Amino acid sequence: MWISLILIVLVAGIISAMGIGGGAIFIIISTIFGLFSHKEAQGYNLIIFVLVGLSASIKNIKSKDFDQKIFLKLIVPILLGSLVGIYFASIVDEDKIRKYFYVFMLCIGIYEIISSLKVIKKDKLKIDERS
Amino acid sequence: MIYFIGFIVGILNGLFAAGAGQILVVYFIFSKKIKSHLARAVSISLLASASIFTAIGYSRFIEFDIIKIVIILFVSLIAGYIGAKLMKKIKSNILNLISGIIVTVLSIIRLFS
Repeated sequence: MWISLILIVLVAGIISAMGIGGGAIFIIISTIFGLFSHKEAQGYNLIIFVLVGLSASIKNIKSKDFDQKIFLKLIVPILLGSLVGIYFASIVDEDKIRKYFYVFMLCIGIYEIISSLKVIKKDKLKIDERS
Repeated sequence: MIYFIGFIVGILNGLFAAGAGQILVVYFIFSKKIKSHLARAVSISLLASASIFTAIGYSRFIEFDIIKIVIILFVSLIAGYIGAKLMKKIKSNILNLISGIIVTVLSIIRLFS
């Protein structure tokens, strides 16, 4: 159990620090392996993300891959939103609305695939033209 | 608009505890035309800060195991460092594509599980 927990946290943590969806991976895999209930997995995922975020942010700030202006602009609305979200989590049945969220996430994922493929194709054409 | 997006992302983070950062990343990259690596770095810092409050809120619903938290603490700090280092080695278009595939596959799994 401990080894699987360490491996899942390590893999999901690395993917989280790359900003490509590690949180959902942790929740899905840890619940499939029976380490946590869905709600517990959500709670532990938040703790992982605080620490991964802290470690990754120190690294990103040091290497100057960070925009302080955008961070300061958005931190207050995100914190306020989170407080509202926690309140909602305590009054609504999250299981019932979860599927709508994942339909939305599915659209985001497909949009991201199509947009990045378009850019990759464009770059390839530019390279071909040059050669 | 940016404040509204931030507020909505915060609500989703509080409610679902995962996935909200991807919305912010997509908004940054494809609407604000911010470079992929920078967008992901800022999104990670913002969501990690918000997750402190969300985790405290979640402690009302679940009982955290202190031993699991200690293990998670050490592994997460190492994972965060490795992930941030790896991110810079991957081209932004490829990073966006991988992210899109992961989000799509996981959403389908979550929808049908």
